[in-house]
Amino acid sequence: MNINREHIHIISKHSRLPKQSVARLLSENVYSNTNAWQKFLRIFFLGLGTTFTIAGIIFFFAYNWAQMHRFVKIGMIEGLVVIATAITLLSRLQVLIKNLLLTAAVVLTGVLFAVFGQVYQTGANVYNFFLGWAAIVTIWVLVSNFAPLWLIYLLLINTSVILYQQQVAQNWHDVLLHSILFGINAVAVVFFLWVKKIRNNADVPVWFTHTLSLATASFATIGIITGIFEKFHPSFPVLLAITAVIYTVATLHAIKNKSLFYLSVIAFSVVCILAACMLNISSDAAMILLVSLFIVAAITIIIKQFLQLQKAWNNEQ
Amino acid sequence: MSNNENTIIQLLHQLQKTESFEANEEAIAKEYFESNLEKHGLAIKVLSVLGGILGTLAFIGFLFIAGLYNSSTALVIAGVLFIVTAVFINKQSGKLVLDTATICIFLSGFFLAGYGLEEMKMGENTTALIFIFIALVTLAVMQRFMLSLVAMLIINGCFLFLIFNNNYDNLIHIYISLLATVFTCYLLNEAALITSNPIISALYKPMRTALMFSFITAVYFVGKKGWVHLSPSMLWLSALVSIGITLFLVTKKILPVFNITDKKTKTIVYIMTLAILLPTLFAPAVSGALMVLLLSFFVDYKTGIVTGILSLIYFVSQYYYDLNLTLLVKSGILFTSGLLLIFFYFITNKINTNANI
Repeated sequence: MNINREHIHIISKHSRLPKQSVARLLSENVYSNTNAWQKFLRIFFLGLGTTFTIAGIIFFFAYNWAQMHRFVKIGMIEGLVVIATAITLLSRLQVLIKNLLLTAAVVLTGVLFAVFGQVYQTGANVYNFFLGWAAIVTIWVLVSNFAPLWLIYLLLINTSVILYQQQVAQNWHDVLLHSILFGINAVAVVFFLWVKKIRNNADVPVWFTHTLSLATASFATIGIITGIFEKFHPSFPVLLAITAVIYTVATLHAIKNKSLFYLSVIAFSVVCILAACMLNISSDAAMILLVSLFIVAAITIIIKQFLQLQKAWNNEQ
Repeated sequence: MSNNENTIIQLLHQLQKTESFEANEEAIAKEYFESNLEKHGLAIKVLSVLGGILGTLAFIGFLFIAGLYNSSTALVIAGVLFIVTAVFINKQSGKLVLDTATICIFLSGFFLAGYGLEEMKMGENTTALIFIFIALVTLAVMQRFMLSLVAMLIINGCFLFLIFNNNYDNLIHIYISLLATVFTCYLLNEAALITSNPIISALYKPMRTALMFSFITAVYFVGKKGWVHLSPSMLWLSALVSIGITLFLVTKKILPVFNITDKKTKTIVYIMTLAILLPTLFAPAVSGALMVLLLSFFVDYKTGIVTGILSLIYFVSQYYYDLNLTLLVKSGILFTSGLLLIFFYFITNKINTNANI
């Protein structure tokens, strides 16, 4: 029988189970065991070690090396990228180490681009830098199928789009920008959930899909709220329609998979949007009081519904 | 009796086979059933807190726009009424559904009372002390997770306010040391605390979360340069306790998990631990985050583990950002530390392999 912390707390509360027995139960069933510690220490040392080493390399090239010839500078970074990818490809190291090495290669590619831009004064817009970086590492990201690397990749794409609007397409309305960002991230979420469904061995951790979903909902919420307060833009109804479709699909998915996370994110987003609609009608004292009451009442009703849903799910089990 | 309640009763019977102790089966089954109903995870907790905070902000906005803050006495009375109402609702219903409303009413109450006391020229220190008193009374009266957590965080906020408002900035080191010690004792004595008395047992989980967040908030002030006026020569004071606790944890708690008895291996582990901890002597936030991470992992406290990891990343980055050295020197330090940590990875792997044999 799997004993968890809750079992022990409840039994201890309503019994005279001695303190020593509670301590033993916690230690044997709840606290981290040797295996958990081994796994933790491996990830801790390797993750932190790789991050520190890469940060050291970045700082090294960020230093203004006036005396160092450009061939040496670029050659050194290219050498490091080649070494990292060669070890990943040819060695028999653990998959985790190989993935971390590939992540290092991806970050070093960015350093290489930055140094190249600095040496040749290519005059490239910053968005070019991120877009080029993302394009060049695509194959590595696909091959590794490593969640942290996917996150870096999506971060690069999102940054490219934001910078493109700031530097090139300044006539893009904020609603349009958020619609695009929402679209990119929504496609990514759907894709990863689909991959997880069709391939059982695919490494798609929950933290990854949750982070992406949060970003997606944030872009939709900010975009719609901006659209509500600002002058009408044709992209606004499109964003509204796509958001409605995605939220509906996500709600159905959440109910099917018994996930309160997606439901909570969508509910909070909708409450924020409705509150913004109310404030757009009027921003006098009475309306603000109404908004306050609305938020509290809406969240309370939503939580009540969620708890009932949870109860139904528990009974199904 | 449903399957869920059966599970815990079966477990109880299993335990009673090995040692005899009295137990109230009915109460255990009832609480387990209720806790299963309210097993909601982090999403609903966060939703209720966010709803509560947003509602409070809108309410404060309303007060300012409506100009209903002219009478200080009325503000204080309204504030106290709000707080009492929140505590009363929470105590009476004890339902998770009402958490958003009670958090909103509770926080609005503190805001109203605070604003009223300020208008009455009561003095900021007195106001902070009154807040601490009200929060303590709240904790004594009811022990529901959310409101208890908010009350404890208010107490922490008031202590920090008292330290900085009175220009005793360096006292933060003592406060951090105290919090670190209490948090450690709290986590490592779970069995003693949950078997002590009903109020302490009921407050165990919110208190654990509050202590962790209070500690992280307090070290944040020493982790970011220029936030408060701290004497650089005294920074190690905050780090000392965290380092001491981490050393204690490694030697007395973690090593026994691995069953390491060999002297040579023990010495290697001590050297590795010191090599990681000593450089953090002047980065108290880093050693603090490391302490939270290891302690939380030891007792498998998930919120603590996630907060520990995120704080560690943030505080390490902040430390190097604030460091007044050239990029080249920073690069050297980072690169060497990175290689050393990767070296430790291989040593740990070797120790693990030996331990498994």
